[in-house]
Amino acid sequence: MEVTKKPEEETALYREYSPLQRIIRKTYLATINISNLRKILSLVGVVILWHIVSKYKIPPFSRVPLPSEVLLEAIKYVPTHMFLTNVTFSMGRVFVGFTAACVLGIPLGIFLGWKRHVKNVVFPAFEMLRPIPVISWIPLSVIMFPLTEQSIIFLVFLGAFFPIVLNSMLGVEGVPVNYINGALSLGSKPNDVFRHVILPGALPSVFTGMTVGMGLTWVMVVAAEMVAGGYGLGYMTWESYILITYPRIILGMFAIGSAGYLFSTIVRAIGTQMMPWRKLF
Amino acid sequence: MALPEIKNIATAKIEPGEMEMRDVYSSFGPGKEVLNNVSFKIDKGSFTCLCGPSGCGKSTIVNILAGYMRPDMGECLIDGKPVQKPGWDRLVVFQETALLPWQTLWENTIYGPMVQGKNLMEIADKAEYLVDMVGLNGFEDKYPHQLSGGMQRRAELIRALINEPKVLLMDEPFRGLDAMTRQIMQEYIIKVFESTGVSILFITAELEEAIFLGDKAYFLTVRPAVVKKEMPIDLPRPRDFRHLASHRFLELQKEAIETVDEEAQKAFSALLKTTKS
Repeated sequence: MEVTKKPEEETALYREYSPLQRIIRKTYLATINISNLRKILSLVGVVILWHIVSKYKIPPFSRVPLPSEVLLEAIKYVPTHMFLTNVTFSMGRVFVGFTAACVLGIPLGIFLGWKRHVKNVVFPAFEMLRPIPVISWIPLSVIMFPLTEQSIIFLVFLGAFFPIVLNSMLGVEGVPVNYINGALSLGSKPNDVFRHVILPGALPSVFTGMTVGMGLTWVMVVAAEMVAGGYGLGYMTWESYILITYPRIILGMFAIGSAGYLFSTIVRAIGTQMMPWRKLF
Repeated sequence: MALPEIKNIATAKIEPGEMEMRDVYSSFGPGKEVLNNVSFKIDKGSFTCLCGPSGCGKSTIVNILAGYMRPDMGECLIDGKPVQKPGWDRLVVFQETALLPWQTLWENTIYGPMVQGKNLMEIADKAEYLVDMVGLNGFEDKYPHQLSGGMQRRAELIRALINEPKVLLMDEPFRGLDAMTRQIMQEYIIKVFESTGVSILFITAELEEAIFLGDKAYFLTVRPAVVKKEMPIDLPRPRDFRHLASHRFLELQKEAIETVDEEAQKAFSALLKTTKS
């Protein structure tokens, strides 16, 4: 590495790197460090453990396929058209159901928190339905809708709807009364209070609801597909059990996990984007 | 961090107003009286302090003056007219910060004029001037949680001052600040008062603070609160920290402590009674 001529004490501390070198060095320092190595160790440890328990057929794992078998299955199956279709179907159902839950749930939740008398009328009914585990809606929703697709999307919608409504409502109720009073004193009309105080104040809680809801949509889509779906990751996983292609079960599980993680990350990223004041906490 | 220098703010004159509370009675239901015939007056362009033990209903008084609450009986007047609803002729500087966390310091400062539909170009100059006055220049784009406690209080102060309120209602605004920041804030508030001429009602539980800052202090009893004593404070203005050690200050302090001690004894014996039964 070339060192430019500088006073002696400075050359000892700083080296001149070209921009490319600087990027490489930065990436290197950010990836290869002791803390990341420990994290990798943890992941590798799980795979090794999995290999041992299924290789030596330790009881509940005696029929679990080896990691290597799953890897081979992935290499074979992931590039196929079938897999892509399954992924697209599941993601599409989650997207539609989740969007519907947001579009209906966020305004409803905010409205319930904002107008006490509306809450008195609507909330008891809501609270009656909420404790029912959403999975138990599967048979009813199959009866309710003529098309399988509709009933799956409805179940996904329900999964996300309840946490979104509840958290949006709590978000509005949790806006400190000082903020509202202060804004009123400064000459805000109710409209201004809503736009500048209630809405941004409730936003963090709305996103909490969306994150929880997103988790539940994947529970719902998998459950619904296992029962009813002709396509989808849940269906693929269940079908692999029926067809005794066990490595594909685990592949399906991984695919569902990854897709769920991807979607949650997107929700979180939108949240950070919309709430710049929270970025620095 | 170096302490920000207090700039000269002689040009920010405000037309002051007067407020009065007449025989105000307020309760949260039978047997839960908070205020029992409280009467006091904030004179035009004066610094009035309100002292009382914690939980005696000081915040209720502010809520009534600001128009967030209606008294059960009695009336509350600003420049002779009854208070109907919240308005920017009397602004509250809250105990806990009421700066909106999702707005930057700048957005918070101009929030009042913005929702009142004022011309923002005209306001910008004034806002810049005020930000500079309390030593917050350079922090305009920061969010409140990025500022220190003292900076937040100063931001709150200019957020109120930009609206040129007739009366500034300060509800224990320095509570929770450390001693050094508190001292700086006291110095700021004296500067703001002496150079703008706004009427101030300053609520505090600290006697020394009340005597040091005010022209007049009212002492409240324990709940249900009544004005126990009105004490004019004749320390000269402009005021600074030398007055804290003056003979007159110590005399006033002694008088205040005697007044409050009686109340403290009462509060203590009431507490003993409830724990015994």
